[in-house]
Amino acid sequence: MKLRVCFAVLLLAFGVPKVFLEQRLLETQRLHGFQVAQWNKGLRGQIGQMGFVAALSGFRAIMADVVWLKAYSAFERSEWGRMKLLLDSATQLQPKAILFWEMAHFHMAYDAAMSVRLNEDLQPSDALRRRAERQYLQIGEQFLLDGIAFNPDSARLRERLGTLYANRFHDPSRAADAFLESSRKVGAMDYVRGFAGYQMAKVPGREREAYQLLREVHANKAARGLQFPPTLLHVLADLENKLEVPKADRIGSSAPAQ
Amino acid sequence: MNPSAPAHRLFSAHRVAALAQNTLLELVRMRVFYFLLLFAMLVIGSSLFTVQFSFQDQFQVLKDVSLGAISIFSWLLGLLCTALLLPQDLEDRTLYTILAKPVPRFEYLLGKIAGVFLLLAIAVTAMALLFLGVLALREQQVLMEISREAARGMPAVEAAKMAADVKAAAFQWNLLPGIAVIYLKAVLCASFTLLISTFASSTVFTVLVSVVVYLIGHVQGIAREYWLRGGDASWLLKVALALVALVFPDLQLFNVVDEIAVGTVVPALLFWQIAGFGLLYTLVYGLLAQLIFASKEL
Repeated sequence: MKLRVCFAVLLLAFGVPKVFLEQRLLETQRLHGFQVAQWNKGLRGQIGQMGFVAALSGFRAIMADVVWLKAYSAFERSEWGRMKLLLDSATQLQPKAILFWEMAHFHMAYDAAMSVRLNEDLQPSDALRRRAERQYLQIGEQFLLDGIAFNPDSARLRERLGTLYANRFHDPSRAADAFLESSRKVGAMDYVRGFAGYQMAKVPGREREAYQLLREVHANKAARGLQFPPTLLHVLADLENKLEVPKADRIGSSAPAQ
Repeated sequence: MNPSAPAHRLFSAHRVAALAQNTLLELVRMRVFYFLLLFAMLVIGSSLFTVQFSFQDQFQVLKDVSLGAISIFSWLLGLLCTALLLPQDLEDRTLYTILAKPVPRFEYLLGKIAGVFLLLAIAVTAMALLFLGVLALREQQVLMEISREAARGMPAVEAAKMAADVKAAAFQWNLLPGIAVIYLKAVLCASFTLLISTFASSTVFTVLVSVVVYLIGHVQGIAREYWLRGGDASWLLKVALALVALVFPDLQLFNVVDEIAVGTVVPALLFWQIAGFGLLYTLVYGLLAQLIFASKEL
């Protein structure tokens, strides 16, 4: 009896400081990007009871991969709705995997959106097909925005967002901002700043900002002995004409922008 | 008493080492390392299975499956070997032979669990080497494919970028602290199993309770956060949550490998905090096991 009491007292005596230490360690881990998976009913419904238990028991990454592979097979069968739900689960289970967010947005905003846009057998009405396309574009955009929220330092996701705004939303202003944000992150690709300038040049009212940005990119490339892309040179020339830059200060070619 | 014989010391590292070595030998003779074959099949199989995907997908699945397998195999190995320690010695009557000699009970317990820790260290190292070997092999294969593409006319800048992406997606140094944390988690679970086995009536009971503790340990964090937040839960629920939070270890804190596999870096301080916490748990559960074992009637 005495031993049992002693055992219980020791266990609880260790338990009290342990609880607060554990909570502090958890908060430190979250600060460094660990333990960020979201556990909710939706996820439980998608991955099943055993999957949920496995994910909770330390096999979250494997479960995310399993769900990801299921999403891939849904992609092969063009089951876009099911694929979206599976991609939601995979990204919830593994929110730090840039690849999941990137591919999820691509499958939705490009594959699914184009598929529903072109599939006349599924929906004869052009207006409804366009509406469905817009919905998938927005889902793709949301995947990227959520991915950026979980991975604020990712240059890659911002670059993809810029590409999405430029190529699918045809919104050069938001594309330029996304590329510019991407270029400020560690690990950004060299060309992203140029992309930002290229998109910004298309936005009425932002020509001067675009011109300054492209001149900076030009100077940067010249300092490193790299070639300035001909397309950007044309954009620069076009901006110089629009902004009536004195001839002596011009660096762009006289060819029209493409 | 022979006056020339060396005086008996209360604690002898030699005695503990002898017990640990003997325990390790006993476990090795049980052919526990055969599971490595299963592990190799799993790693190589997943490596071959994912060839159809992009190289980022391949490396991610390979890392997730391998690290998950290291985690589950090391936990199971630690759990089953520790659950067998005391009942086996009782059945063989080895326990009585050892304790009849001037070997204190805490030395016996320490030597036994140290043997399991050694076994786990060997097993985790072997699995990690196998996994890293397969990862390096796949990395080289993908890099060779890129070289071939470059020779066929892929632009040099694109080939260099792809090669850099492959290297970034394959081996990263922070996989090593991740594997160390898996080992610490297995050690912690083994020490908890030892604590249970000191008062358990059978091996089956020890294994079952340990599995339940493992499962509860992974949701302890949710219970703890809910309890600390207060809220409008009934007092009965609050008491239950408090008990879970106070008694069980938070094993979710040792699941950093999921994020490590996708490139999240573990700062050195955070790693040492996790390691320190794991060692503290192990020590406390070891001391509690000794408390019970010391007064156990044998």
